[in-house]
Amino acid sequence: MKKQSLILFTLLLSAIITYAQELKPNAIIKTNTATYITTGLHDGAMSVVNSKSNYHNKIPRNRNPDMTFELKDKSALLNAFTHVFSDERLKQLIPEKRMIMTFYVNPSGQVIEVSFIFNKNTAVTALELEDLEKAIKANVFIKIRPEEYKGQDFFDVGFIVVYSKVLDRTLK
Amino acid sequence: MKPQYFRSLNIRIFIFCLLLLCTALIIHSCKKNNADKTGENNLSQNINLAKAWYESTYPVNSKYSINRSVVRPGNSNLNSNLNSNPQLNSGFDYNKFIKPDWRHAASYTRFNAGVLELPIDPSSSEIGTALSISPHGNALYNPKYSRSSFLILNDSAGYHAYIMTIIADSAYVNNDLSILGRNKYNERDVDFSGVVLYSTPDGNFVNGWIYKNGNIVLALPPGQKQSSGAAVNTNTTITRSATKKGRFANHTLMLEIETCYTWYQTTTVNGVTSDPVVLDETCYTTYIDDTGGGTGSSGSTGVSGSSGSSGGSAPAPVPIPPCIVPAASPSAAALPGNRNMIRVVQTTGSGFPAPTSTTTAAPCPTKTTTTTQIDTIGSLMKNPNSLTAAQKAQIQAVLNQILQNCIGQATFNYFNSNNDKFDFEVNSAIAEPASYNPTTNVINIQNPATVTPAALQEELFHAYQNKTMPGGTAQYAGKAGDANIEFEAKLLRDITYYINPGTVGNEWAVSGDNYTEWLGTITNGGTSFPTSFTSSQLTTYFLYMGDWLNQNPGYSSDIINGNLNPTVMFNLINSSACSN
Repeated sequence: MKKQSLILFTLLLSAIITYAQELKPNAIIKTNTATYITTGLHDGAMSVVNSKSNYHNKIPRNRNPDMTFELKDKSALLNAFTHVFSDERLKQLIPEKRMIMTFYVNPSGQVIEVSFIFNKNTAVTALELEDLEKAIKANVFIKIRPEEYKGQDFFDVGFIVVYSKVLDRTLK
Repeated sequence: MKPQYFRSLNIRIFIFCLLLLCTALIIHSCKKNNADKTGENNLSQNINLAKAWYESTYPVNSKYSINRSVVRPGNSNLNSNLNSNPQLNSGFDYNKFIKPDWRHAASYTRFNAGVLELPIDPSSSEIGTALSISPHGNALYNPKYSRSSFLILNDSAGYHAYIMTIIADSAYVNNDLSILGRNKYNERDVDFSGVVLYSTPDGNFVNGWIYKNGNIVLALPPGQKQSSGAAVNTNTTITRSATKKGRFANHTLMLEIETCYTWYQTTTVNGVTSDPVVLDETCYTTYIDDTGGGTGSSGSTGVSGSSGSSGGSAPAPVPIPPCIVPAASPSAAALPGNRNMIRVVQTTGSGFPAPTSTTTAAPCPTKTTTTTQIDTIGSLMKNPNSLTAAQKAQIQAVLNQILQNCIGQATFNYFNSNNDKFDFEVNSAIAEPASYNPTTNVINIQNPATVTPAALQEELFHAYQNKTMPGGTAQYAGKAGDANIEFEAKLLRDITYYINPGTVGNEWAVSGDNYTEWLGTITNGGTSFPTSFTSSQLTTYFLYMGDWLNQNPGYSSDIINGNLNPTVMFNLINSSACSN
């Protein structure tokens, strides 16, 4: 009887922990080393941002929407995704089509923060997001064109990744 | 009642038979399997024959023992033993430093030849190979990610030995060196990026192939430098960072741009690096229509391989051109009737090309397709002489990218079908990468080598606004409505990117998650271009126009006209293939 209760308790705990990693609007989700805050947006999507974010919802000084941003290594973003998501997992995410991100980039081209927009029923978990954010910050670097740089303190760069392009490795 | 002795006899007979059967089984199982052994013997015999041939052709023992004592870190005489006189095809003599590990030979048949693929014997020196495009510059392919092995091929002409060196791209390796083991002569990762080099054991470079994401993008055949027509102009700006030289040759219909690289190999033995060895100079050619004619002129963009490289600041990574196209290839030819042939490089399946391959053989399979394209840059330019040939080529390359999306194509179609022309001028003094002046009808470009498709497409849209808005756009300069002109172009750019994202990001016109989400709403989750706005969407449009002015100081003096709706954007979308 004691043993059965213990198993039941463990199963219940696992379910709670698993559920706790799901991203739901207007929630605070803790992972191993990070806490994510989700906010419902007007049209049913939600933004997800690390609670320690210093740049989300801030407007860069001297913002210039004429700038374009290429990756220094064009395969770096693909590699960050394949590092976190297996092909099987990507197949599960394909119905969601895409992940919308904002990279907060310093004038040297280093990604210092990432925020995300998902639909409110996303299957992506907070743990995956934590890994992805780490992988992007470690591997993705942006080319800053000196002729376009007009003294911004940081850049809020929109990137959209289509899952099917990660799965077939055509994200370039 | 049965007699007792019968029962006892039966048991004895049964035990005897059982023992006999067991003995027979044991004897049979211990018997040699001649069938299996025959195969093993043959393999062993093949290896022994190959080994005997190899050791007589490349006598390893004497050289090996001598050079083992010479090669040690810090030995100043090393380079004289490695190679101190770099010249074409005078390569690194592997035979002095490494030998095959005959105990771990893989045997198979490929390209109608028996193959023995052998790793380097563990007692050999540790070697690493790097590849670069300058004699003492940074390696494009890092020796840390290299692995060499021996290939002994046995075909109708007898034995041939090669050193096969694979140097993987650092991004492909991604700090996992075990990935190198997945690439052998007869099997290759589908997304392999790197280089495979073949040379003879005594150091003669045979050929090499550069891969990107599993596709061959460049051949390195020694001494097969492409010859081209007479050079009429030496140009150092077209791919100035990575190009040794670029030159133009005039053909009847095509502008031919030749780009060349010199490839250097260095080999590191036990931590000491040899002098660079010139493997090859490879060239590739880009063809651009040079008729400068008006609408409907023949020719257009014939691309031999890629559209080439256009500027850039760092020498590595090099924008790698595709397989070399032989000079006489029909792919470069313009066809009558406004058509041209385009050479398309395809993947080669598993494994690497044979060392005996040439540029015209299987490793660079191509299919030739005939396509109809219109002379793009020429049909937009009022004055074909307002740009140099190099500038024209650079802007043409950007325009080619723009034409790949339906908005860019629709914008071009408008000007082309109305025979509406304007001028491109290069003006390094302008503050933006590109700008359009509705009064002079000129698109100014700060630097044709660095202008992006997004920037040029926006200016083409401004030209489209000027041509299609009643009274043109100049009437709004400095007045209410100039904000509308700019924001409409920015929104169209953002919509285009939202629907067709790539790895080029941008700062959205408006910062913040709500604007990004709104882009998703008006594009139906990124699946279709909006063909009109509802009244609430129009209200939101003007609200975001206000945010845009507030957030971007460069546009803060612009003034909103509340009656000027984004009609031009919708007209363009509705006239294009984007609305299908």
